[in-house]
Amino acid sequence: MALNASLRSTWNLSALRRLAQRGFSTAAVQRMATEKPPNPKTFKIYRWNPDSPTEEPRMQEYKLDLSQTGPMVLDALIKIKNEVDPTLTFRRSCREGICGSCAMNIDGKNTLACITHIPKEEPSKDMLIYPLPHMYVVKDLVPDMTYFYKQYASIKPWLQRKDAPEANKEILQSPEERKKLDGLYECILCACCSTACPSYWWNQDVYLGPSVLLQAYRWMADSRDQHLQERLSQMENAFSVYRCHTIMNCTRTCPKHLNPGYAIAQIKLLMTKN
Amino acid sequence: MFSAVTRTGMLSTSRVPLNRALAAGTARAFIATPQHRRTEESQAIIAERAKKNRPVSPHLSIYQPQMSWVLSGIHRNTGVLVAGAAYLYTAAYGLAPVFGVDLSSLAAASTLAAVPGPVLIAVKALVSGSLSFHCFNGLRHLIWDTGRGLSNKGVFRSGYVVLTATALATGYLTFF
Amino acid sequence: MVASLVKLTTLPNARRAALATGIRFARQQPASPLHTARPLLFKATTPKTLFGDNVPNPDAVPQQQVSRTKGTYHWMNERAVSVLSVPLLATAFIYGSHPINDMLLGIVLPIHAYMGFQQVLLDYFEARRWPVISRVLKYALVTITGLSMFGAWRINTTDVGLTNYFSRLWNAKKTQAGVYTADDE
Repeated sequence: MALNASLRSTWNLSALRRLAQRGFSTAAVQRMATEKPPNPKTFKIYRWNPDSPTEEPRMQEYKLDLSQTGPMVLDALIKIKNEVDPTLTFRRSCREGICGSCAMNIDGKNTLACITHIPKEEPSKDMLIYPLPHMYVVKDLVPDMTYFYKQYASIKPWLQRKDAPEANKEILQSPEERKKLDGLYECILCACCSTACPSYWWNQDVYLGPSVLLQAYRWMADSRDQHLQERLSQMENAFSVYRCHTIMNCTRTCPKHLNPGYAIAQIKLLMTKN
Repeated sequence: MFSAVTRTGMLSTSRVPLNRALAAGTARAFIATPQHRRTEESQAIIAERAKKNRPVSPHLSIYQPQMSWVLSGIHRNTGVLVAGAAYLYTAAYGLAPVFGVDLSSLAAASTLAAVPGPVLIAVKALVSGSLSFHCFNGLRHLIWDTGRGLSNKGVFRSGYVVLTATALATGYLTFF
Repeated sequence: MVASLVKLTTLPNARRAALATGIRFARQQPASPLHTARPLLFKATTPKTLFGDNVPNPDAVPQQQVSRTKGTYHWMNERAVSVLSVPLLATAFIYGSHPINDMLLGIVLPIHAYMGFQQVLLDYFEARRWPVISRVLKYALVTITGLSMFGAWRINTTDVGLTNYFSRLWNAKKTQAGVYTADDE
């Protein structure tokens, strides 16, 4: 009785009865199913299985109804994995474009699957999905990122000082100095830019790549860091930074709209001045 | 029946030693169902075998042609073409007396005059196109080296300027 | 007995350990139902090594020799040669032939070509992966650059000069016999 009285204020009983009969989720699903016309699209996805390693990598086709799929490529991949082929393997985590796990090559461009809309033009073209270019493939769309992370560690991505800060005091930084870090700190290390760079394709072992160089510049540009000379002298050879030929594929492909090409040019200018 | 209690207070069945190990932080990895239990050693062997056969993901064949890398590739190819041709020709000129070949301007010009017109036009278009593209794109590169124009918009706009200038210069040099 | 066991094992680790050994600890914050009070187990100090050099597995990424010659100076020289070749080529195309211009062209352009080819070699035939080919091609490049500079010098001294030579070849069809006189230049 008390329940009825409290319910009457916000819900009327008939609505509650309707919900109880049809359930919350099925109401939405039924509405969705009846209102949208089917919109088929073919996805061609790179497959390779390490459990049968002598088999060549191949492209596997999957047909999805876009009216029953979420808007992003990651939604399509998850739907394929849930309903069509559970062996499809890919990395994913945040589904909002901030973790960098789902970086892959979609329709020829390196980007994050979770923030890439599936184009819904008619007639629909096949969507081609490959792993990040010129990387060793662990399985399907999963590249081996070990060396990339080692390169990142090699530039010492932490604040280096010659003197210790005073106890219980921050190292102060003016707003102008802080502004220099905008466009550098937002990098999510997804490796889209590095794996889009042809120089990185040919010389991955000695060239650091735009992602790592962007982070190297992030520490060079930080006014609180006192090891600029050491950071610059680490780049003094023919390969670490000077394999960059300003191809600018990196800036073109960054899913977070950062500019690694500009940062690398700034590193080169810093090196001429010091 | 004695049932173990984990740190979070949840009840669990039978695997007493395992859960105690988990709680104490001494549990090893690769806890699997009894049917597919793998030891740590065999996992390493499987990983090694898979690593040796890992393919390299496709790159040039699948990456979308974009103003950025296509123009850069053309810059390199035209540079190699023009420099290679110039190298070979001037080196041949330097070595000509050794082989008794006359490459003086008169002889070379008269040989070229004998070549049919359309062939000459095609060769001229190729040479002037390559040289002018490389020069204009080289200017674009020099501007980039000062730090200017390094944005998506800048790259595209300067790219179109270079292509237009190349088309005009090629047309002029080939036909006039 | 089971009930008391349950009570014991559901307590947070530190408290259980403390109760077990009888050590008393101080509460850092007033106890609130939303979080358990944990003792401060360590004292904050300035680190002994100031943000040292500990890179995880540094040997994996090859630490290359610091060489300003191969690094920044090479880059600056490349740009200098490129910048220098702009007015030289412009003069050659717009003004025409001039002995000093031709001589400079015959030096600067082969150097520019050499540096360009060197970048191509470093990109595709890096020395660590291609020890033999990279060395062979490097020597071949030096040889042909030297020959080219020699040939350019010969054109400049014994023939009509680089600019005139090029324009004669270019306009060979214009005069049917391919013969140029001085006032055609």
